[in-house]
Amino acid sequence: MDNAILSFKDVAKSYPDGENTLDILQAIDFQLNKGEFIGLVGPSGAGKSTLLSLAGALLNPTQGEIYLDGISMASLSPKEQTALRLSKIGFIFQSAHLVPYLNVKEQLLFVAKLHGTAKGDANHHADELLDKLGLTHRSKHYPDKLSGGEQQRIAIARAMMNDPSLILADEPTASLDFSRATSVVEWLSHEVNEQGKGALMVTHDERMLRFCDRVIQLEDGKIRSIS
Amino acid sequence: MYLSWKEICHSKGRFFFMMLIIALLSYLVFFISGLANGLSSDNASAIEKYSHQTFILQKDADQRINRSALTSDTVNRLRDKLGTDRTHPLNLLTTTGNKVNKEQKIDLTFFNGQPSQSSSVTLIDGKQPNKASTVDIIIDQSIQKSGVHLGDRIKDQLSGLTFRIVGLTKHTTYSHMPVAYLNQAEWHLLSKKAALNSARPLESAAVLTSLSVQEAKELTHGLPLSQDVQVLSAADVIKSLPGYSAEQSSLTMMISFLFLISVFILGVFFYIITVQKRSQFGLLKAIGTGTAYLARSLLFQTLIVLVISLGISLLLTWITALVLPSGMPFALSLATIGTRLAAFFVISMISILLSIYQIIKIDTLSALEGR
Repeated sequence: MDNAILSFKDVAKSYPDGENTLDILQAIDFQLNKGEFIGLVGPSGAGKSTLLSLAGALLNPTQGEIYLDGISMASLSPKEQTALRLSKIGFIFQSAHLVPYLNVKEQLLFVAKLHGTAKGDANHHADELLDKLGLTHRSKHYPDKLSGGEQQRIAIARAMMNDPSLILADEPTASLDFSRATSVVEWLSHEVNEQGKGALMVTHDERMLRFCDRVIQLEDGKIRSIS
Repeated sequence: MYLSWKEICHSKGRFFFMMLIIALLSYLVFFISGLANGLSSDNASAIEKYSHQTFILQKDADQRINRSALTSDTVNRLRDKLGTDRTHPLNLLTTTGNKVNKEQKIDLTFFNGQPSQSSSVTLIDGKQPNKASTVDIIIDQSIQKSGVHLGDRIKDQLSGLTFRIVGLTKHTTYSHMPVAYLNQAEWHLLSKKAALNSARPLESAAVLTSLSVQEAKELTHGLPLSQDVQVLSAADVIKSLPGYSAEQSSLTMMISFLFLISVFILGVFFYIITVQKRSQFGLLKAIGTGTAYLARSLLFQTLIVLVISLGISLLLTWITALVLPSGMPFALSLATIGTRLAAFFVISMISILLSIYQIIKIDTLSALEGR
């Protein structure tokens, strides 16, 4: 148990739908350990994004408990959840969602600034990340001048910036070509394994699953298999 | 602050136009306010000098000081009742004159109040006339527009008397005419001569008292007078000056409409900008930016926009005041500028509160998914 970064304990999520309730997720029970990279697959509508939102404290479960580093997230106030996302969770979305008026390096420095990291450290870390992702030459560009792949890599760098314990990725490779996607996911998996983080990645691309330590198959809101 | 400043620097064009519109709107507000103040002062500044006093006019004059005529009997009875040391008659005569040896006619009004009143008027040039003099007068500097200057002599056409200008005053106009202040001896002479020509004795327009309207009303109630009188505050007398309300109300209406337009434009501006950035705010919240940070950032941005655009409009107003011809009545006091600025700030803060409410209720997930 000590090893767990994220654990779902019999989690369910449902929405009221007219007179009935719509069950999106039911009886979700799994644990993500340090250094582990889990892939999340399933047909659309299976509840993958909802699961990811629950893990990121963007939603609260209807039932059950979710623990991040041993803290029950539902018991936190919205303000504390925001602070938790800032320091412990790195989000990577389907589209990059960069801030349009910040240049590449400023995107990274901004999250460090929110977190209260000292300027020199933040600068150093940002340079390091940009170097790893091969984007140093782009550091002064604004998002509208970057290709989709570059934008997505910046988003990944931004997610890593505050050194989170958990990385949540919602189809991060959807906008990348195969070779770019492979190198990004490979790099992500390497980082996770080496630095003892945890990552949960939703993907449609079966070819990316070979970098995952385990794969959760979701179907109709339930876990069909974990392999 | 970081975010808002970066955004302004990045979207210079958008913010430039926004500032331009706010600057032009507020410039128009300042300009019309200046015009309204200028006209008001041009019409009433001589009466405003008595703003702390209570006026007693003839009732049939319908609150209009230019129509009021109190007989010396009424004046004496009123002064006896209210106390001679607390009252003084105000005499005024609107007439036409001309500069000696010149044909061009000039409208002007003679004022004669308490003996010491002319000293309460600020001289901008020349000197106070001798109390015993029967020719020396001080007059509002606006007479210079008609080509009459310090030391010139003007002839009153009604009485045929000639006066010499020994001093120029400021902010002493009545019904857009310069006011000339006469001493007791001069007024006495004028009323005798004018009465000969117009067949009726010159009468006092009003009795002024330092008592409050209420006190004066109580004291004059039931007083046996040959004329009915009405007790009024200086503000009421000013409002009833010919043309005053008409000028002021139309300009006030324009200013209020401008403010109304500003409310909508600012409100819609800030609202739309916030709505446009919904997904961006959603993302910022998702990666851990607090709502308070976003609200502060928006507030700061609004303040920057406001300060710059109001600064530009004040600069434009200042340039306008310099460029305007001297005949144009234009006056802006610091108090007026202050209240207008405050109004703009309040309006913007209200519209920004609406936007902040937007930010608060943004649901991170739906904003991200573009729902």
